[in-house]
Amino acid sequence: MAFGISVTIMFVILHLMPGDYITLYLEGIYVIAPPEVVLAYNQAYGLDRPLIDQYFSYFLGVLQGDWGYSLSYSRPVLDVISEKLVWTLVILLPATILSIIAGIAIGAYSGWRRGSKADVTLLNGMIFLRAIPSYWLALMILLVFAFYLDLFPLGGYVSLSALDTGIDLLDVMNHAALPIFTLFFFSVTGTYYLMRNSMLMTAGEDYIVTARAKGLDDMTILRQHALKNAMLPMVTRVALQCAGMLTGSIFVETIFSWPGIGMLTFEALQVRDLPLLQGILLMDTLIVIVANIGADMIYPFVDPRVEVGSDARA
Amino acid sequence: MIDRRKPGIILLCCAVFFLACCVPASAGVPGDADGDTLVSEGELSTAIQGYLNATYAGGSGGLDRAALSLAAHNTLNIPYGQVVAAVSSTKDLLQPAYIDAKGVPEGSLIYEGLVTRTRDKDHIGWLATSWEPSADGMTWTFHIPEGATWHDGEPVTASDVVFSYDYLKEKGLKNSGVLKHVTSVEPLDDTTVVYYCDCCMPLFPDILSTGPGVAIFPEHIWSIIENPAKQSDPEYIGSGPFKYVSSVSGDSYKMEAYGNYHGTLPYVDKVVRKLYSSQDAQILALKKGEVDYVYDLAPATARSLRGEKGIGVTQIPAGGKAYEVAFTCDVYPANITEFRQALSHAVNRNAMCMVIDSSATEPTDTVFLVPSLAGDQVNEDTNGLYDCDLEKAKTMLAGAGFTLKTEGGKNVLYGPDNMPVTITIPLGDKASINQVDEKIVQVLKEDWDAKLGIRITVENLQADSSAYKKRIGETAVHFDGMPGFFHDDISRLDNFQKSPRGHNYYHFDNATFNDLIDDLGNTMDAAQRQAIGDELQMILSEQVPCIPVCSMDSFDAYRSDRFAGFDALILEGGGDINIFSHIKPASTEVNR
Amino acid sequence: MGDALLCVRGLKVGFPTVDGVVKASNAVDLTIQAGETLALLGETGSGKTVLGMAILRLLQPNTRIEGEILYRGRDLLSLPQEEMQKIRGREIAVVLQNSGTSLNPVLRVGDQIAEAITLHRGLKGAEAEAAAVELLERVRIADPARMAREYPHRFSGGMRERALIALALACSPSFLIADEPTRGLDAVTKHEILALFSEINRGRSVLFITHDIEAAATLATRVAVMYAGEIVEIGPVDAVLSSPAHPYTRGLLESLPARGMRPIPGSAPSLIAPPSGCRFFPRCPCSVGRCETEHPGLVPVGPGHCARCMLYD
Repeated sequence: MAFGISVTIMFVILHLMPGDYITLYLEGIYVIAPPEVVLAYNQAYGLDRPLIDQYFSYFLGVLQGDWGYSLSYSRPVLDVISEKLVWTLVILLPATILSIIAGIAIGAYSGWRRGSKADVTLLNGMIFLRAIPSYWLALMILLVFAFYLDLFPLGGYVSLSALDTGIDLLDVMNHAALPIFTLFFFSVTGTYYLMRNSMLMTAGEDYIVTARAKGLDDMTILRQHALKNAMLPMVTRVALQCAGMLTGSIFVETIFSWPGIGMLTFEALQVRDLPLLQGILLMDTLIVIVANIGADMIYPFVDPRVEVGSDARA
Repeated sequence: MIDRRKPGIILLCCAVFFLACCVPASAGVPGDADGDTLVSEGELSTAIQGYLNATYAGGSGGLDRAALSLAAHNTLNIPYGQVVAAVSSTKDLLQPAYIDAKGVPEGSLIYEGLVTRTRDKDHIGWLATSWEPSADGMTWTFHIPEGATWHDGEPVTASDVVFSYDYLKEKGLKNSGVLKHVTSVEPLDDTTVVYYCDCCMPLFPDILSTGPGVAIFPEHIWSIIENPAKQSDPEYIGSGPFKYVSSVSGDSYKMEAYGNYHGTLPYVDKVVRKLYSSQDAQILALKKGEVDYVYDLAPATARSLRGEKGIGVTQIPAGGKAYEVAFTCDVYPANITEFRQALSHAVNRNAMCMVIDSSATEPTDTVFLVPSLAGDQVNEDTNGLYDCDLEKAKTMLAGAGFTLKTEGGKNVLYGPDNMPVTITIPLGDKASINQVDEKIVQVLKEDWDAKLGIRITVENLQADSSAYKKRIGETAVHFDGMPGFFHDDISRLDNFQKSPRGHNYYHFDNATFNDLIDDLGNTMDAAQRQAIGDELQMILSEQVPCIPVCSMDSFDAYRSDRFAGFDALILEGGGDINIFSHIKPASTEVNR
Repeated sequence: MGDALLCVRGLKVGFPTVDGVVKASNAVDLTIQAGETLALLGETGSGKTVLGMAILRLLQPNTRIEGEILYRGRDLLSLPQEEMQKIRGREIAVVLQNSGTSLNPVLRVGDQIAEAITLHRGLKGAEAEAAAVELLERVRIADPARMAREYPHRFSGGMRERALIALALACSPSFLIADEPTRGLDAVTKHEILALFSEINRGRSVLFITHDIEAAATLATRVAVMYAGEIVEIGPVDAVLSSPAHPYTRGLLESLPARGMRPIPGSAPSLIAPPSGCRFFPRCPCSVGRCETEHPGLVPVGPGHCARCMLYD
């Protein structure tokens, strides 16, 4: 349902734009687009048909997996996106998982030991990290680790030998290390803040006092009682973070020449490949929706108070 | 045999490389004693003797084995080594879209057009060895070499050329627009092909070769490709100096010298183009030695690379954009010719160049053409007419019915209608790193606003947006920044013609000018063309549809310790396309 | 008083805040004998809970505590953390107020009880679970085996209170602090809980913190009345409730519905800057001149019955 609405909105926005987009696209190539070429293009992409007709065929197409044709790639949009999505996920998934684990662990500890030296150090460190402009941070990481220390390659996802011997998994991992590291830094601070806050709230709860009154030691209370409760708000956050990082990775992908969705978006914007942009936005929407559904599905497992289908019973 | 070298440049190179050769062999081509970057047979013999002496004597006076081998490769013209060039966008990685656009990937060395173009506007044979027009300029005959073959071994014939044209037309590919005046293409025999046009085409080779041109592709492969928008040739069979080897999607591709190439075989064996999407990463890769060649550098970046060991930087005059303050000649007050003339004396080019980047810009003293590109086509009589002289501008404005008053310590210019003159300037260059337009406006404001009393407001719009395109037709002044090569030939002056399709950028409509442009299109004789060009430039100097500001240089950088010949080629004008087929490996290190 | 189980001496508790230190407990002296139930009465904010929490050192780390809390002769305030953890739950257990939030919502009730059993009694896995079920049965929760596997949100208010009691009883502590266990419960449930307590009380010392005089009357052997961080009256339950010595205690009793429901005029004083002299004098119906300047001490008014009032000085 939500997806259907976003498809419609996307279609409407695209067609509300002043001027027709084929002319705009071709003007990026020619100074003035020759009318005969515009006509040929419109026919090739079915843009000469009535708008309502186009809408329905687009809508049905989207549902059937036909997301249109990329102007600049001359390939089905879904094809292009899914190829790039794989590469984005290669760096996004490890970075997200790492940042969630680290953010939660550090944030929980920091919040639990509120006001302690460790907490103050961590908090200030995270504020500092957050304040660094992301572009600069990515560049510095590249400069230090790939250039001066020469530990990692400067960009791309494979080394030149892949041209002769094919793509090697170890090689890809070597290339992915810095982008993952950078993405991790971008997102760990957010997780940390949220977790720390959540832990501050949890630490003041009555059941923590109960646990203490039982005679449990501090760390056991943190692990057994505080952590799980403090993590509840993180589920939604993590789900949205997965979706948000998809476009948030533009910087990282550009600096590390990583050919994923971020770079694709950037290039599609540059050459105004609107069908492709539309596809990317749709994919984004789809991921947000799926991530939210995912979060809703996970909730009952982490929070016994939420039960699947409890609305139906009520 | 293609030879485009000019004695002056050769001397310059000699001097450079002579100095370079005094130091270790890695700084020049191994075995090259006289520093011309060519290793002659004599030089090779000397090198071999030196090697043998060194070997037997156990000394270190001669070339080592690997360097000697490289010298032999260069002498015998057997391709050696690998050059890695950085590209900044995936569209330079054989993206199929350009099959859709141009028939085959542009900018590669895999496919050839009939002719190609050097930076100083010479057209040189590429697939074609020679060509001649008919007297009326409506028929062009091209000769292709015998024995030329496609990379799969099939012979290249005239029918491939005919097919390429027919295919473009039939499939409605974008490039078919470029050839719209061609009515048909016929083969005369296997190696001769004739283009018939419906009008005089004095610059037909230019049309075929610009940007980088219309490529020829093999009939036996493409005749079975129904829809080029959805299919292409995965082997990229072409006829160029390099053949396609392999690619990694979204990262890089590799070509190697094609042994049976019909022209001069390249000196380097393999060319790899690899994506580095940020320029910072490109520069680091160059410094680290991951890549050998980067192009289109920002001036500041190029400056920082100067003096870096093993790296050469080339500054290409007017290789970037050339900028003009443009008028919209039917919008008040720019519709008053005297007003435009007056303001042509109120543009402080030197100050603008200072603000932009004085080491990378050159003030334009001509009316439109850039001398470093257009050469002697510039009408000398029109040079320096727009000198910056605010007093002169004030006098001329007064003569045109404008009154300058001082109100509350501020100058205000009143127009013939007794209203203060205000001008809105749309800016669309916000996104660019250099923000040239914005800097030009800064200087303009100082002169026009503060001294001449013209109120200037700036409107920031997204560059290339339709809103921006609309606004520049509604405001009296806007900016014009086109690539330098749009300022290289008198035929480019058609930019100011009111074309049948509608207004030009300047809404400039001068009957004499329009007619002269038509005449130019029908004139084959070079002297006659020049006479027309001089007249056109004279009209521009009187009518002032735009005031030229400056041209920007562009910068390339390369590993000078590994390859020789980048510098000479870029400056001399091999054009991007030919660089890789003419550079020479200078170090055995390139054999990665 | 040779067999005093717990002895609080001169306990001062202060919470630093931006406005100043909140003196929640001011030189409290209290002794609890083995086997007796002492009811600590007082209005909300009088420092009852703070006293209870201070005994187990469950107050926030930045709280200022002075004085001595002797449990079986050992000063709890100076015990190392590990020693204190051994006392909590095993020797001294507490039933916290707010039963609704005092159970961890994401852990099964049985597991929460079993955790304490494992910790102090060394029982593992199924044994601990069985013990937990037994405890739930003992506090009269129906179908204890099933309820042990449920999460707290499935429990009613009374059931949660019982679960908390079961948790407190897990290791048969010799001293139990019950903080307002009847708060927020309906009358029927309240009586059930009280009945449960009177059963638990046997052979165990209990500090029964409450503002409910009836509950105190039912359960306690002795009563201490707190006002503004001080004990104003202490004595045997009958003596205090039938012949209250302190005007505040009298006021409390008169505010009961059964006795006319006449509230004490005025409101409880600020604990940051408490009144000089007697803390109750601004609201006291029988204050005399020196009440304002002199701070009264606890003086005996009967056998084992003391009051902090100038009237008896």
